[in-house]
Amino acid sequence: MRKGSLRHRSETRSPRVRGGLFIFALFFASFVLLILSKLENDVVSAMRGQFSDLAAPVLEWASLPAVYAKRGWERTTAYLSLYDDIERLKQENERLKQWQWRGTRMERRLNHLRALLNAIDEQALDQATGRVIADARGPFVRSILLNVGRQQGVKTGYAVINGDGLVGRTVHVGESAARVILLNDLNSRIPVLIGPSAVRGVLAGDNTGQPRLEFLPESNGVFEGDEVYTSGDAGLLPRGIRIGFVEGDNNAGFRVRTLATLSELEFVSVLFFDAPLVMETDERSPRETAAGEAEQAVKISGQKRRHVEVSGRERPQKR
Amino acid sequence: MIMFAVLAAAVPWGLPGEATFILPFIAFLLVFLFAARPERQVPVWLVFLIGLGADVLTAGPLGYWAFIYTIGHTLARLLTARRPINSLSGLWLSFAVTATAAAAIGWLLACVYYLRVIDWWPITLGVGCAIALFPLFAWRMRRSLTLERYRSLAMRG
Repeated sequence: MRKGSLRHRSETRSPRVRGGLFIFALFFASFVLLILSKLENDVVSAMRGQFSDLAAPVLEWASLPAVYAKRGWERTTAYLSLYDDIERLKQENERLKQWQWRGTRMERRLNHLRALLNAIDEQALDQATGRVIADARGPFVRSILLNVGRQQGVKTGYAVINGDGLVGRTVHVGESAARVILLNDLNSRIPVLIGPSAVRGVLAGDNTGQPRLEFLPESNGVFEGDEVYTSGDAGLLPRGIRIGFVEGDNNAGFRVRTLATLSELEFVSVLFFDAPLVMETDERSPRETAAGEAEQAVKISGQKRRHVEVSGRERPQKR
Repeated sequence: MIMFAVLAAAVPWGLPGEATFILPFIAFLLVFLFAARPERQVPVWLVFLIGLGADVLTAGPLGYWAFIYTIGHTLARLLTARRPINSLSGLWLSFAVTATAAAAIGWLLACVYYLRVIDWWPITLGVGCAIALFPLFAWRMRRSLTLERYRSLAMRG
């Protein structure tokens, strides 16, 4: 066969053409997956969940060096600032002793008033504590992967807290892992109450360090330093979980400095808050009848459980 | 090695929010390096699958990093197809051009996906760090690059 003949040219060109077509097919597959991902297709979500479950043990093992490195760094910086920290903590301790005395008095008064009014106690919340095994702060996502899942009773839509306050909520739950969308994620929207006048708003994440407050009323009465906490609206999250403090002003827009450091999470707790909306949105949760719900309420009040205040601090068990 | 980089991108290092693109672009750097050198090539379908793995581990839009890594692989092959690049500086420049193009496409794609203008700073920081760290990762290749340069000079002479 001569070089330059038609057959020679087509035979040398066809592997290149096939290669080009194959690459084009891969690009096309990427676009299809992007579209399916945007439409939140069930198959894609299930595939993601299964892969997360498979990858969870590997990620748990792979995250150990990062965890130890972080701890080593934190200990080193802590040793360097030890003296200043001790002085600061001594002063804080003195202030907190006064608050402790005031808090005890107020709690006694509250219990007395509750008894007078025959008020119903807040729902006791179970929780499961898990470790962050993957930090899925990808391009446009602020989420984490925990090593707790359905096996531990976690469902979609549960609030996630740490010792400081609300961190986010679960969005995908596998058998042994759960993905949590953080407060500053682009898709995070939390109904909140702000300040002593309980102004209603929505905490909206935008992938920055401080989520912003939206849908505030015109004459909102919101000021820098006001405390922000969950409102419990729509029954998604329990009411009263601390989130952070307001920063900024009306002109530039209000943002919230979260109490939890969202970029340095290690251990978090998932609160089992089964509001009706959560039971409907989680496909795997059983559809409980009214009789079933009553039975559940009896179980909760009858058994000894760990009681967790909605601020995230543990309350001593009732004896 | 690319898979390790992708795993590292998912691990919780405690980096600030603006640094979230750095580790995925380190994986992109490795994809480019393995595609640009004939003796170390990784097939494009494997690069696509690794990108999908990165999408799932980072909980981003499925297909996003698969698309970016495939672009990186394709551009690296196109740039080196006719005439292999035999110098570290040439390879570095090619990577800078490829990474910038991929980042721009990635940013536009994200804006279209989320139907809003996405902050460009984190992706710029990620690309900048990857370009700055390129010599560190390509250092091991300097010997094979030097040998190839001498070979091509000898063939001409």
